[in-house]
Amino acid sequence: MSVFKKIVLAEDNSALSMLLKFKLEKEKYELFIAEDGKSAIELIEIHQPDIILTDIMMPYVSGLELTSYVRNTLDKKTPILVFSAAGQEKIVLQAFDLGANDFMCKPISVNELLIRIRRLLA
Amino acid sequence: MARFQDLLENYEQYPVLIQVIWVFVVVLFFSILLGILLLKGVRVNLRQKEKFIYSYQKKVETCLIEYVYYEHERNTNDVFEKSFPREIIRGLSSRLKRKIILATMMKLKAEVSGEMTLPIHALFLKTRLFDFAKEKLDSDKWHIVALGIKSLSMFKVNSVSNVVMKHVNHERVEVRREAQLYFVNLFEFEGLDFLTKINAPLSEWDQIQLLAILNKFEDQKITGVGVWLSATNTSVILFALKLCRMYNLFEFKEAILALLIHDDKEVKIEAIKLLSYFQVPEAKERLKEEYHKLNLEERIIFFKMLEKSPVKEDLPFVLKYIQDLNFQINVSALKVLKILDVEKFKNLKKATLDQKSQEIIDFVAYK
Amino acid sequence: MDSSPLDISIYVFHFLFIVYTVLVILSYIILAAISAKESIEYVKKNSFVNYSEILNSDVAPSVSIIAPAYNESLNIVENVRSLLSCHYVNYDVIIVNDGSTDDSLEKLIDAYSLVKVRYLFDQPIKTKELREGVYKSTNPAFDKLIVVDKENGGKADALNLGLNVSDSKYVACIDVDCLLLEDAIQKMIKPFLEATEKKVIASGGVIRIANACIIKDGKLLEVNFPKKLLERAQVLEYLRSFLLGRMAWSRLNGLLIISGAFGMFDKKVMIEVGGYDTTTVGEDMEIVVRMRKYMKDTNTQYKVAYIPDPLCWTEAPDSYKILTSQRNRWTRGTIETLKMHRDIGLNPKYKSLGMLSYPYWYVFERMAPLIEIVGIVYLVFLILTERIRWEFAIAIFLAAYLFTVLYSLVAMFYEEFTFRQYKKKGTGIKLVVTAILEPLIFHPFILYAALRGNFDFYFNKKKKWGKMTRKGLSKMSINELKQK
Repeated sequence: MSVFKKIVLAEDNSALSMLLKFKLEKEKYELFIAEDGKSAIELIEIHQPDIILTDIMMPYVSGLELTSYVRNTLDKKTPILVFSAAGQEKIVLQAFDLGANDFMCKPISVNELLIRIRRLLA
Repeated sequence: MARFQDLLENYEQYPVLIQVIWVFVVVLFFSILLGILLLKGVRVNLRQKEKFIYSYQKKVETCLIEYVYYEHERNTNDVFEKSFPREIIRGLSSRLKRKIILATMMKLKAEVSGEMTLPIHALFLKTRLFDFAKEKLDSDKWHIVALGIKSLSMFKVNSVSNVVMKHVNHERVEVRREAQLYFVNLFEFEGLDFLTKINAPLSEWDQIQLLAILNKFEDQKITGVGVWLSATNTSVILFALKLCRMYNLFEFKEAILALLIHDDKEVKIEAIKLLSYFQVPEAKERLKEEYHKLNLEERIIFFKMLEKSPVKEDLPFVLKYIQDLNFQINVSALKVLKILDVEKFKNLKKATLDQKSQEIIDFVAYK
Repeated sequence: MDSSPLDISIYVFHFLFIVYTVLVILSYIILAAISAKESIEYVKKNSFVNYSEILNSDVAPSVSIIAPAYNESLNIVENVRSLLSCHYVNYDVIIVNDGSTDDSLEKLIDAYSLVKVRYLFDQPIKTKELREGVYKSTNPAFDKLIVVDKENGGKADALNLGLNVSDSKYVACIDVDCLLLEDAIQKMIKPFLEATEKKVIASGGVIRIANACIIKDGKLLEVNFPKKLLERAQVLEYLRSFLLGRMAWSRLNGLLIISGAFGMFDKKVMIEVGGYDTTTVGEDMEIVVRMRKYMKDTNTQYKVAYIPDPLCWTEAPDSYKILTSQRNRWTRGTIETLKMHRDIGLNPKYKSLGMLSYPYWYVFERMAPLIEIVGIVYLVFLILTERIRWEFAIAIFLAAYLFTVLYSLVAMFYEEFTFRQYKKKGTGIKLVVTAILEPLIFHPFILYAALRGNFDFYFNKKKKWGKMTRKGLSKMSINELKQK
């Protein structure tokens, strides 16, 4: 059993995911990266992460659909943090409606992200 | 050989027209051969270029991220020059590599905020990237100028603001756009000062872009809206109205009411919509009086206004329109009636015979 | 010289023929030149456009994607999924089930958790009635989807119902089996939003051929060049038509046609002109002409825009039978539209629309197959009466043939410098071979179909939309993946 907490990150911007990988792995999280919603779902089913970070607009399956899938189909209570470019009232409300726990606007402050992850995992 | 000479002799006897056509045929034939060779060359070349770009991009990305990450971790005095990644510095001498490096830097910068951006900024400002960007501003070619402004805007370079201001009225819309975004990126709401200087209209696209960027800023102190609401450039007025809506600038109520009699149709409509959103009673009264002068679109918006905050005094007015020919006005009027006088509304249901009206009434009743 | 009437008429005939040929060649060259300028400018303009702000804006206008569907049960769920994953905020997807006799509706209800809802909408355009009604999803992730089930009335009628139902400012009318890329809406809406003096009433897209491409779950994974000559020739044809033809016409603001498979329109103007015409088979061309006319008649400055990016991928006919049926329909559509709006032709009131676009379309598109067959018949006549002058005949034939091949080559070049969709090794040669074979093998079928179209238009009133059997966009993917 791994002591490290597992994170699944669904993000199609490779620069951002690489940076987050460095940062999060240093903080002793185990990171699994997916470039689209569909592969993210696969990773979630295989690795059973402790927290899910997802971008809203992605190819295949959107962040909103991913949230809905995790909450309804997989019936999991895993904390979900959603990020999207420029806070958008409509999407925020939808994400929370579907069961997301937290929301961050891009450009994200990586330090703030870390704090929020810690809070969600507590 | 003899046959060929025969053909040539024959050829010389043909009428001019046919000779010309044959020349054309030969030209075409060789052009095709040449074309095929060129095409092959172009394809091979582009394929190689793409491969190179892909691999170099990956390299730069890794390089950049490592640099940003490690600098962010251990650097306390914000002096980054010593640790600039060598690979990237070497790449700056090639135009293509520069393009890729800049694009990667911008890609990362768009996603991350806060302290992590400091090393990226330093990498831009303290290298030739900065010089090249400044040079672009003086180019003859519009897209080069626009690219230059764009990168300077992303890295928030203040020193070139005078030069960029000159481009705010550039003949190409793409350059104007980049200049406007530059000012807003750097000076936030104060950057909107250019609104008083522009001659060309501000398209919807431009307005949306500006609003999206403004939305990101913390400090939302807006000045100048009063001036913009009475600008001669109607697109500036429309933009100011959008700002009022977004930031709830209720204090400009009077100026907006004044716009109800503006010449431009779009300005009038947006003013009505905004007054409706702010629920300004004077607007309602004025529009009621002027109703006969309003065009169809304005009337529909006006009824939406009534739907929002109907008061008893509206009832006699509304009753005139519950069977209006226009669908939307009809529905709006019925909705208002239902809110103000449920009894009368219910009686209406029983009285009406026309199927279409029945459908509408049923629907409004149900909602 | 002995100048019998026959000789004179032959002489005149030759002369007209030469003039026609020279005009065709000149016009192609001019269009190619204009296209080049426009394409270069377009690529420059878009090299640094930022679409992300538009994506996330509350203020960006609403768009409805309207997709009529008839017996599309095989792929409808997948197609709808691809429509729902567009990167735009303020849009909805209206699927109009045009009286399908299969289980399209049931499949949709199942896949998207749909329930029937009460939905009131105005009917400014008269259409066939609703059948099962209006459906929406109970799952918030699919709240952009509206499915409307109606009595069968044809594609135009279904689109009109979509127009009635839609609440948006702009509508994108598409064929439901078209694969739409995620950034399609942002790209198509740009011209509407960028307009300042001239109102943009419509924006046309480019159709790319999806045959042999790998598509999985409604997403384009890989672009491949098809194997059959028939399909390859169509790829080449579309490249010529979209990159060289329409690009130029859009710069001249003379674009008469917006592909029915994908186009975006100003809904208000569309409704004002009365929506699509249900009596014609060329409803996509006809409505654009009517909208243009309307704007001219109301003295409003306007523009029809064109986005050359490959945003829409569709399956092209893969058998000669279906191909000829399709081209037959296109021919009849062109004839009908030109006939219906012949008051524009050479009418100075309509400026470039009447003096340039209409005559061009009439002579070089509508009359072309007829002129060609007359030429061929004449050639046969000359051979049979032994009046043939081979040096002349061969010269003309070679000139026309080689010019076509060269033109295709030019189109390939344009493709390389703009969107480069066919990157794989060896495709270049395949394209060249296709260009060489196409005028000899493919073109005769097109000519035949066009002649049949003319014949059917004048003498056969029973024909309407042919049936194109849907093999499904995924057929390639399953087989290919098995082989890998």
